[in-house]
Amino acid sequence: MKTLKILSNQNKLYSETTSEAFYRDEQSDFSIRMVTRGNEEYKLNNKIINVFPGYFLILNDGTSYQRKIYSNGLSNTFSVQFSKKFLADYNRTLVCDDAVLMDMPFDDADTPPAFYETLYPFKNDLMFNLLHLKDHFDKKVNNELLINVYLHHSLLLFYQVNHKELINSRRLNFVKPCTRKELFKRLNNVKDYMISNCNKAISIEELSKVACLSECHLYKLFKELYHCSPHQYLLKIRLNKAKSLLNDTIYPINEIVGMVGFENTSSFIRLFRKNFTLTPQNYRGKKIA
Amino acid sequence: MVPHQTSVKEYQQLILKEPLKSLEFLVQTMGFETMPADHEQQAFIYDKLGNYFKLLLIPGANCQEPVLIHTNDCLSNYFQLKTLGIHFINGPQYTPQGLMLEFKDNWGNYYKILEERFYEDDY
Repeated sequence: MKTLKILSNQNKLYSETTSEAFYRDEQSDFSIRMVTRGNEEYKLNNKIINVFPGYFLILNDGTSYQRKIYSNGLSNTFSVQFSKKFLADYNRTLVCDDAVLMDMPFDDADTPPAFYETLYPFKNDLMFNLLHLKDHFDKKVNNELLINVYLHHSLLLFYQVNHKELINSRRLNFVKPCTRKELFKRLNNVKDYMISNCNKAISIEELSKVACLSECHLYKLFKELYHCSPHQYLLKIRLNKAKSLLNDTIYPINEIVGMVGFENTSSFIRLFRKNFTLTPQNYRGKKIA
Repeated sequence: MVPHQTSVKEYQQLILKEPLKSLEFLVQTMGFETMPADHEQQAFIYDKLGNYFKLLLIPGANCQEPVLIHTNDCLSNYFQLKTLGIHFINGPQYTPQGLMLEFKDNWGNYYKILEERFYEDDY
């Protein structure tokens, strides 16, 4: 089932529930894309990104992509798409001072900003707001003014997330901004690869190829940026995915172990308890209670 | 929306400048419903989700302590109450406790609406 709502300002809300779908030649507005159940695979140029609960993907205006949904059960995806004009105007309101905005209230020459097309953790205020918006959308609330309140807040919160990312990128201590930007992009590719393939065994050699960096160089830069090794980061991704599967599904723990890329149950239980102070069984029990 | 309280069995004391008018405000504007009470200072109210509250409305002059109302969707409340003409002290504020709204009613009583949110650390 697909539902699309186009607002009068040309912003769009889109939801799809299916177990199988393939869209070959899509082009995006600036959009925030999330999955509340199952997963969705995007192909952007040669990069493949898997979106599943716990993360959202950003696509810029004009980006071409393929996407497909394949899952055992139903997958549920939701995206909010901002029109080029709206995003450019919103951005202008944030970066220009009031005097400029008053002198030139309508500047059609403004281009929308471009963000890193990568996976971001879906959490905190942005998550709460988007889930409320999805809830209204699912209930067929048609009040555009109300929907726009959520869209404005969500966009503002995304700008804050993006700003924080840019601040974090300064941990890569390079004099030339273009070098820093390129390396940040490559490390984002590594992060996306780990998130998208966290159910598989991933070696540092593979990551090194994704980043087009030598293994030692990648290891050093990754630690600078994320304050942990790629292996430790992957472990966090896997444990958080396990947490979300324990919350949202009834899969037995043995199956979840495989789904998040652990080789054996006992090491999974030990690491889960070490990180969250509860065994997976107790965590699930507590959530149900 | 749910007035904050520690226990359903106990009365929650609300010190309000104009208790009866404030009760009217809670019912007519904020959408609570009432049940008959034995005493005029008592109020039994419940919200649309069926949450039930025993309030003791105490007259007091210009109480500075806010009446804290819990909600599960602050932005939606903000929008609805704005359309009803409520004047907010601030727009929705993101606080460490969650999303919060502040406003005063026509009698100067101070209300806070809080959508409690539990935040995750970065990873």
